[in-house]
Amino acid sequence: MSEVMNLYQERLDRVFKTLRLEQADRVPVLGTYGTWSSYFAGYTDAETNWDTDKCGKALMKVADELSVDMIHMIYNRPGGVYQALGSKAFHYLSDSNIVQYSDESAKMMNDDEYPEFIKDPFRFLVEKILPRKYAELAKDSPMRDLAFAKGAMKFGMYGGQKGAIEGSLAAQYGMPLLFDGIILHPLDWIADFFRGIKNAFMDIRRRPAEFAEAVQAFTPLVIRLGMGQVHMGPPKPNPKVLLFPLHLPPMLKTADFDKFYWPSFKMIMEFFAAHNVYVIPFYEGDWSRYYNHLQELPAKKTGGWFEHGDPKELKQKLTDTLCVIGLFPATLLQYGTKEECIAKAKELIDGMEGGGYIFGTDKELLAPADGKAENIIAVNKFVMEYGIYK
Amino acid sequence: MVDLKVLTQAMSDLDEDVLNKAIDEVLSKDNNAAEVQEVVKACQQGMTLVGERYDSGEYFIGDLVFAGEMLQSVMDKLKPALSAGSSAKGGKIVLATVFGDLHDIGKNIFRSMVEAANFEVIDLGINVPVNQIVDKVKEVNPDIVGLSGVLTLALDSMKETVDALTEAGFRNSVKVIIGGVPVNENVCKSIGADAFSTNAAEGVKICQRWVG
Repeated sequence: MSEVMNLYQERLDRVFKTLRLEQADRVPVLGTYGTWSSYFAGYTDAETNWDTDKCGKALMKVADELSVDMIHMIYNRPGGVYQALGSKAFHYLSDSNIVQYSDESAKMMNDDEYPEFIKDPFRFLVEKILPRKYAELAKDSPMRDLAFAKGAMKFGMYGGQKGAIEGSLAAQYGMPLLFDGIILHPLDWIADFFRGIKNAFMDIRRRPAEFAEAVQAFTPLVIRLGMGQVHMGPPKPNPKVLLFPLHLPPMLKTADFDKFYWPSFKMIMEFFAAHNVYVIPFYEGDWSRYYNHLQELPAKKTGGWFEHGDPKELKQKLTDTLCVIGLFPATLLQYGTKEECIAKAKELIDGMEGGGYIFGTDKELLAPADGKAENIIAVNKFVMEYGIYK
Repeated sequence: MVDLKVLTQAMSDLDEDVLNKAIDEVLSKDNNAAEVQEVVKACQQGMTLVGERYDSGEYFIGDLVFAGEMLQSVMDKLKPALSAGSSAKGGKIVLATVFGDLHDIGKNIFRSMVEAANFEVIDLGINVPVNQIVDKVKEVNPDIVGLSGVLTLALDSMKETVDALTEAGFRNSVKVIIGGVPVNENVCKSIGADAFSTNAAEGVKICQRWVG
């Protein structure tokens, strides 16, 4: 095997051993640099969304210069697909800003449509939601069909480009990508895309039974969407991995979480674990009041990217269940000195002593100023030296 | 006269039905201006209790959003019956989601809670450019400027806003509080704000201390 392929394999082994809660040679470092990578390479977020090759070049620069064991994913969005379908939901506030999604754009569904949604969520999605979301799909045939064909073609091309980037990262830099796809919880689908977050909070109180039923009815679709992505790319020697960003749980009362979120969440996690797919939720916000819930997840079959949490408490509560990723404060990379960053990294590694921890930031780096490159380089180098298991 | 304690309790419990029934009862009477004043106060007290229940870990953001909506719809109903300028104000706040960010759920929660605490709030909305905030401060001479944002890029805009306020000579006359997911003590210091909070109820208390 070539030196690069050896490096690739070594990095994969390190990461997957850690995910399985076995002790690797050292703490792996995951690059979670998102659209920040664009700016690092001298592009804007918009440029990389319109020109996927630029996204590839940005990731090559990250792989070459930032000392990581793995990059989390290809971060850009296929601008051409959204344009073909006539999406108005994504907003650039200025040329150099990152793309954003507004709660106003999310309000696609009326509160009296729950019964129709519950009856057949897929039909409702295709016939009602999509035409409201994408102007071109609201037109009559054949304009609608042409737009759909164009969008599908652009999406196919985008898939090909992503595959090529993944191949180049492996062949040139021995750099694996962690995530093979992304899924969302049905409740987050409803809140983020169908009803808007504010309306979702209203519905939870005003229409609790319908809301719970809608979440349940949408769950099989989430599983289908996840499995579709698992099978989209070629098989891999290691298990496929899905990112699962979780949005609303820290905003819910525990009683609401138990009723509306947890049953579907557990079902989804158990399904993928049983199919040898590692789902790694991004546990956004403070999840400490749900640690006991997380102990019920299939042991050693999932990971958890955490934004908040006391390392010692995480270690104590979840050490037998799942591998912890993240926790390093992104704002420290932005505002802190090298010494402060290294001190924090040391504190984290000491707190997570004994394996089951992948070093990474507490949230994805998005904006140009989100992290000073010299801080990232210094911290990653430190983790690779200090994090060796003896 | 409706039982004001019941009103306060209904607001605090987020019991929309009980609250609406009581409000409708008040509005159905003639010459109700004085009672409406009392009702507003009772709802505001209920909102304070909502904040306390959030602080104690009983309520979470979803509950605050719902409480804000409830209070807003009550105020919309009561406004026509309120005599103008009758309510004493606790202080004046210019509030904005800073330039580059359009996330306003946190800002809106803070607005409804700080309004319930009797502050006059001038809400400039989302993605507000630095000069617009400075101009508004010049125009209305507030006690406090509240800057909010969810994305990490908001931090740069917050810093630029604070710098511009300093340059325009307002920094000694207004307090600046920043709020949102990415703020913390370190960030607050770097930005040059007077205080930070990721908790709307706590933010209200900070503002009350400043004008108290």
